[in-house]
Amino acid sequence: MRGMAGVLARGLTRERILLVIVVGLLVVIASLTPKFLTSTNLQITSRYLVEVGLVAIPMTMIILIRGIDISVGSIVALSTVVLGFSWSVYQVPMALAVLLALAVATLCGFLNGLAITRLRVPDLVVTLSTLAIYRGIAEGLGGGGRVYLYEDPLMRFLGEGQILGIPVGLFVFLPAVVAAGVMLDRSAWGRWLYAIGHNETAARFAGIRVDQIRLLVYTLSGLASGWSAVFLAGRLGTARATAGLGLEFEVITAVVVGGTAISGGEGSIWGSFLGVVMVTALRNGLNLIGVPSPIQAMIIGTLLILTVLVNENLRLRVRGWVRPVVPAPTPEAEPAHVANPSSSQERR
Amino acid sequence: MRWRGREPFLLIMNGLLMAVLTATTPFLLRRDAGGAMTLDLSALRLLLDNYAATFIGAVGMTLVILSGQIDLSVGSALALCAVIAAQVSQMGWPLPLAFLAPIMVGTLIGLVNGTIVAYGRIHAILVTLGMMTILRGLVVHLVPAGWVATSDAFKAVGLARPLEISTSIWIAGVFALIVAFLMRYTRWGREIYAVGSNPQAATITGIHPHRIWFSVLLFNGFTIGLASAVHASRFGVIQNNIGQGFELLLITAVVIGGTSIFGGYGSVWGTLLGVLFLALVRSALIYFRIPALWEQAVYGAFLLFAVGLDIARTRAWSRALRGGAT
Repeated sequence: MRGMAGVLARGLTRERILLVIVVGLLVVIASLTPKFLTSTNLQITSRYLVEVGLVAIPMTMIILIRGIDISVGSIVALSTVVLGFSWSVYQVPMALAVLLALAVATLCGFLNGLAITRLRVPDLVVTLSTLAIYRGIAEGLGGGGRVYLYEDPLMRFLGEGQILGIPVGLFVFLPAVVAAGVMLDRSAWGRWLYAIGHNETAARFAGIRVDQIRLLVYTLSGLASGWSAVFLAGRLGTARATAGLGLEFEVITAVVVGGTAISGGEGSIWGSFLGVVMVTALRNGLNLIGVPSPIQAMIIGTLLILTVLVNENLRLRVRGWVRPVVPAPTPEAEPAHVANPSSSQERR
Repeated sequence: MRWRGREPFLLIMNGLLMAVLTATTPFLLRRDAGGAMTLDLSALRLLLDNYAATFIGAVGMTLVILSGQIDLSVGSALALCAVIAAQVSQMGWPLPLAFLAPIMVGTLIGLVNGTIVAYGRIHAILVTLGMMTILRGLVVHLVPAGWVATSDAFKAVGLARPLEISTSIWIAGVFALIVAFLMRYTRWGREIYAVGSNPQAATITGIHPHRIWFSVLLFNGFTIGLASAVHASRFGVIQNNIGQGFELLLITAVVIGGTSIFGGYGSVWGTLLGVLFLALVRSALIYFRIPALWEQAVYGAFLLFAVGLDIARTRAWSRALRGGAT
């Protein structure tokens, strides 16, 4: 059995297994409902896929370096509100409003990164607070109102437009996937991410500028959330502070289903891409079959927990890699000469 | 109560906030028809009543964070348990069942969370994030109308005031006292501190961190069940979106209360003061007519500020311990 498992682990990479599962899932959905493989449905689904997928790219990098960003949905909300209200209230031209929204989103991500690298507050706590702060500002600015955008030609183009029958968003998303995937596989910068995820202290000693990279990755996450917000606003034709609610869950599920280990250092953009396809196809399929939305959420939540259970424990068995005693949220690893400040000295 | 750590500072902050509120608004002192000032505790009592469930929930979250874990599913769990409480209260079964049912459901949720986190060896963030969505989906599914009402008999318990203090506050107070005692004087409590401080060291001294994490998450589930029983009996109408942002409120209260987000340091008392602080801030927002829409942003900012403060403190500590070297 053990030998068999070893062969499986070598011959079947996580991505290949996932590819088989995703194709299988698509076949199952297509056979269950004829509506799935119609061009209208694929158009609609791929627009949704772009919104989740764009954020999943930097999220993969963040989780690779043992971080997490749960503020992405709120960044989407804030930049959507900025987009809509600068356009309608302050009469800013739409192109400029889009740029403004992207700038605000990037700033949000940058501030996340700054708080994490400078204040050394754990990623989860920073992004949990900014989850509330950004959403709160969006709600405060939006004042509970909404702005209708669908009369604007640029918004219509981003939301409904297509080139050669392919939705506009894919022209941003697919190149971004390929670029990020190649970067992670082939460039030194990409390999640094894996190094940091495996052992941050060692990476620091190897001369990798960990903080700089972390800051950049969180900023990218902001930028991607901004793009996601722009496409979302175009698709819905409205801007309001509830945009992007629960996006972080969908994105994190896609990334984790895509095989990126939450303990860092393992995973790939390709896997995340398949994860995004899987999660969006599943949602779409369940929708078409007529499963109500709360049940869909429960199914996807269960998928998240089960995948992590299988992924983490499979790794344990197959590679014989004994995980450290602590799977708990570990404090930021400090360089070795700085003893872990929070845990050791603070005993009574 | 320990007089080190965050507690004295928080006491002063709470006192200051109350003083400001009293001076500028009819919060504690009310001018009656004759022009004389009279002490009016009704606003404060109402505030405490409304935050009873938060007090209880925050005590559970303190234990979770002390042990080095986190639970993001508390808001959805609160909603599910409250809905169950309301529905059971309407079924015409004996009244205690309406209190028992949410506690059992909460404990069950805690059991699932704890089992997966401790024995599946998975990050609590992911498990509870997934659980948060699953439970919320279940709540929305169970309550298609958007809200359920509790029975009048059930509500009467929540609104009763034995000895001039509402049942909610009695339950919250007694619960906090018991947990504070457990944390200070029992082996389980001390082991939570030990595991939160340093799981490896705890393992070497013969403590099983995974058992502690399991027990803490289980206990937290029980706590949320209790909190939701209190909440449901007090408010009478349960909407399917209750508890959204509850996890943020609890984590903020715990961290403001001086508990280290890394675990191992903090106290139940600090948390209670932290909840009181947030409750007073909320009243201040209302009295000063700041739109409720900004509330989340304010809580988030407080959380970030409190954690920043905590980390600055630990850095100063470690600098001092190393003899001033950087």
